[in-house]
Amino acid sequence: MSKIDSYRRNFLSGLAGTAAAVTIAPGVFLREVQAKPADEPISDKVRWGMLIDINKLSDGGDACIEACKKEHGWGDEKHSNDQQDAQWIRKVKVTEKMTGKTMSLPVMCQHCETAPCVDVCPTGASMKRADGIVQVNKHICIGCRYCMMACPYKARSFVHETLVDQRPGTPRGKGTVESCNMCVNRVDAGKNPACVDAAPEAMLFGDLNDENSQISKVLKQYGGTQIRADLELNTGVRYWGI
Amino acid sequence: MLRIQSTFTRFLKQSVPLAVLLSFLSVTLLSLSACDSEPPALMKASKQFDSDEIRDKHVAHMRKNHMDELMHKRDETVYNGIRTQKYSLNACINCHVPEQHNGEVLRHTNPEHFCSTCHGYVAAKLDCFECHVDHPVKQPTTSISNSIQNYHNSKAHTEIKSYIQANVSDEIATLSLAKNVTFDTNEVSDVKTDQSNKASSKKGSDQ
Ligand code: SF4
Repeated sequence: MSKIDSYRRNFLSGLAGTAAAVTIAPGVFLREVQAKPADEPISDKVRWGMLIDINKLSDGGDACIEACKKEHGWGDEKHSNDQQDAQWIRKVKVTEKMTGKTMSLPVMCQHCETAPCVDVCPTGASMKRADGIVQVNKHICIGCRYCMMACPYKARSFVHETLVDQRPGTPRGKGTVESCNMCVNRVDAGKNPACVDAAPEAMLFGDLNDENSQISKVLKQYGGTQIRADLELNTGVRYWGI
Repeated sequence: MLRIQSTFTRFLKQSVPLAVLLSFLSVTLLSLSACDSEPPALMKASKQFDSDEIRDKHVAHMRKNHMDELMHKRDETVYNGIRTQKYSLNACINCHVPEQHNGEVLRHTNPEHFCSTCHGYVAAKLDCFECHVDHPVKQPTTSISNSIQNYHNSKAHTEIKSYIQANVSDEIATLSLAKNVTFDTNEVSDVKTDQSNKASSKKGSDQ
């Protein structure tokens, strides 16, 4: 695709996003996750996804990031430097060259349908669950960091130091790679991801496969932008306002 | 004569290793019976089973099979999202490791830690706690639930509510505003470590 085409597309999708943000009332959808029975395996009938309206994130996503840190216990690495620190979700500032408009958006693992990190992993540790959540099975991760290289969203971090006092729902340890796991522990219990609960006015979580879910309904009506849509990864995280 | 001699040497050749083996075995057996095979005393679990029979079954099973059960459960959890209490490492920890011991957090580096006592005794490396937390932790109630609550009390939410009722189909409005809106007032895990929870764990065998 030529540069002009992609610029045009971005511009158009940007427009659509703005229009949608103005039209639809924000944050009306709080909890649509239904708990599955705890002893029932997840199924591929569900595909979890997320929609983020960056115009409604007044803090650019700070609250989400804080909630994520609290839930999973990252961000408090004592001996790592800036480059080594874990980043499950980060604020990315983008400037549109043409207009100079700047935007700040929270970027985490985009939970791609065809995830490059899963393709490259030599051990099968980088995995996609049946319900579309991409995560690292740290039991078999050897810490080679191929997946970090492969991820176009810079979503993965490597743990550089010995950790203690992890959160019970989020085991993390030195020598393995980690990233946003869409709060699997919460989702399996029928809760929203922590970031969605921290910014209910701007974020929506739900089943992309169920055409009656709220997220599917609004996406059908207004669409949702993927970051780096040109890679055709069919991401589970969509944005409004970019 | 020659023949007899060769038979004799053959017998010797065969029996020497046999004798060595026999003596080695007897020494090993003797020393085994001589050594103290009692496992070390373990810290008492915070929850107790209702009957000794259930407890003894649990102990016998777990002593032999805990590694397999944990390995099986970890895959069930990571791949299939099954997070029942049975054979969950967190559930083991919540019951077998006290929140505080002598006024301190009891970590697996302490030989008194339930897992470390035996693992130290048999010199088997304990890998779980490289990633998993080794003592009970209550997931703190974060400001998350407050933020939803605040949001619900906010003017914006009231406006949206009326907006939806006016503009969006009834179906969506009811979906989003009534039955699915719940608050996480109780984020703390349901595993209680005190005796008061005994009644609810009557089934016993699930732990
Ligand atoms: S670092 Fe771990 S998850 Fe990533 S590619 Fe290597 S083994 Fe797989």
